[in-house]
Amino acid sequence: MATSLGDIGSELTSYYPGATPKEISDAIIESIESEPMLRRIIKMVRLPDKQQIQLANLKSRRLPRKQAMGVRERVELVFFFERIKSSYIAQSGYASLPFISGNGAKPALRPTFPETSDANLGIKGRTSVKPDVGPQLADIIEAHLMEDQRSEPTKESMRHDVRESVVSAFILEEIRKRAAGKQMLSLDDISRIRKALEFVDEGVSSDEILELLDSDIKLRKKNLDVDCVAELYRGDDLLPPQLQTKHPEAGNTEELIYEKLTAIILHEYRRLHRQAGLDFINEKMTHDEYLERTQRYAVHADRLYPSQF
Amino acid sequence: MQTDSTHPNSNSLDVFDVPVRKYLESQIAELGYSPGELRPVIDIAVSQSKLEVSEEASKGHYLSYSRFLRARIEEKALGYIRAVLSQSGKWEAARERIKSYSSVFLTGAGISFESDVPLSRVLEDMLSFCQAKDWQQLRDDQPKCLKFKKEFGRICANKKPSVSHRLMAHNFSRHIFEIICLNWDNLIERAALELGKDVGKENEDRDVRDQRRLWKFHGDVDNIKEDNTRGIGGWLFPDEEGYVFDSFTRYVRDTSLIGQLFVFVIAGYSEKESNVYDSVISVFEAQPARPTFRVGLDLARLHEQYYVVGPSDFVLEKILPPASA
Repeated sequence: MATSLGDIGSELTSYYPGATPKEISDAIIESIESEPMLRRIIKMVRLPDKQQIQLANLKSRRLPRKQAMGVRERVELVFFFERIKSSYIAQSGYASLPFISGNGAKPALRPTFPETSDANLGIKGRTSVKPDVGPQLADIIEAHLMEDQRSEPTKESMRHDVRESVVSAFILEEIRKRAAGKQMLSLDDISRIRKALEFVDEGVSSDEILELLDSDIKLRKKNLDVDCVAELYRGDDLLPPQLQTKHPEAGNTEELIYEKLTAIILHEYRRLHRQAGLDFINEKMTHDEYLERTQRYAVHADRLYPSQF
Repeated sequence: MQTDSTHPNSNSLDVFDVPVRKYLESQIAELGYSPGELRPVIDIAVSQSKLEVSEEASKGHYLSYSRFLRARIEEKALGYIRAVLSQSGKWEAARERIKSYSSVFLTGAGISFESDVPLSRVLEDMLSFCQAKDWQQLRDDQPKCLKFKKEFGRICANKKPSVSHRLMAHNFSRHIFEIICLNWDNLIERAALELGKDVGKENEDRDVRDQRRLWKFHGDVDNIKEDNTRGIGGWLFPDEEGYVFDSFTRYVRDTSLIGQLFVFVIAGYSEKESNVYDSVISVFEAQPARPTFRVGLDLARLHEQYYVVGPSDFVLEKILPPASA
């Protein structure tokens, strides 16, 4: 889309060689400021903030090229409309667009917009008029933004999922950096990893998660001399089969991930409980605080516990 | 794998007993203790933890994933055990004082727990067995009351003295001047008999000539009478406020016991009976002030200087000279 807009900008430059880049972009802005078009565009894109732009960039680096291209285009579109948002003054009334006559006569590049105090991009009361820039721009916008005739809720959830998957990928990267610095995963980290699991193959790799969990398990083995996975199955031989912990199926990556997650959750809860017990014994907290804190850890860990286990 | 019940009760958690105990024993061994010597601590820790986990689950605090539930019980029990083991300073303080200036012991149902003597909940079954709907009816009905006493005596005859009974019997009257036992059972006496010692017992309110006595204000299986008059062999039941012989009050005064320095130890007694508290505890503890150690299972009192958390068997082994000495 942005590339296409860039082409349009180049084309306009060829029509108006004396026009500055700002004048050209103003013309483009004005041409798409008509009510139905802008409303649809804004509804589609819903301008994100700086962090989301960064996350989008991150995701674009991670995704396969085809997907990355689509994301990059969206990022560029986001930047583009950031500029729109910052420069646009919301209008009421009709915004006339520069008339490009076929005989080369220069149009008025600075149309006069009706005055209004409302800076909101929600255009209210404006007469709905399609910009008179010829069919190309409208078609281009249609082609790039409308994509297909999906329903509005699907588009909404798609945008949400794109953001969430990008966020998840970003968070995984942060967690990996900390893990590389020999820091064990916390229950909050586990919570984020569990969230990221929803976006496997959408920018989040299951192998990556597996590697992250494996390194945490190794770290616990090294620092605390505990085999978390073995601990998960400890004592199962003394229980009836229906109460034993389920083993993952061979080759099932998802179950393998959940096994390791469960092992880490269990160990982390134990570690926190034990630390609270020591603090209680050493009079760093009262008995009530000890009960409250260990219960909080238990509830937190329980909520993260995969149901398969 | 998720358990069948969303809200497990402590009975359903019994299924985890074996692996939980095995785990706790391994952890105790890692701490440098013998699991055998801590068996009463493990028993109490596990039963208390299961009760707490069951209550938490019933409030819907979390779901009942089997492995997680078991981990919760294990960590609670281990926390309890570690708290008990962390009190070596208190043990040493009590032991040194008892060896230095001897002691007076006040004991309740808690010291007979390890001997499986029926405690309050189980006593309700005996009430039903004697066809009494409550303790008042039992008191008012002489034949039923007699039946209750005899049945309790019969049950008691099958019980064995615990470590607590043996230690008290062994240390009486050298390191323990007086024993005030509010239990109906005769396990201290039988422990003394096993040691070939004669413990002078006062189970009725009468003038006392000798010193160093075992006092039984609330009744005695060795003194079952048809009527249930206090002070003359009558038994006090759990719904009453306690009873202290007048002869005891006179004895304390006449022998100048109250003016002597000794350690006062309250073991396995809840201190809920106002008459006992007013006539014995408050007097010995504060008139004059003397070191008073309490032995019980209230973990919330772990940080109190003179409160020793733990089962009586375990704690008395730490604070009294051994039976072999």
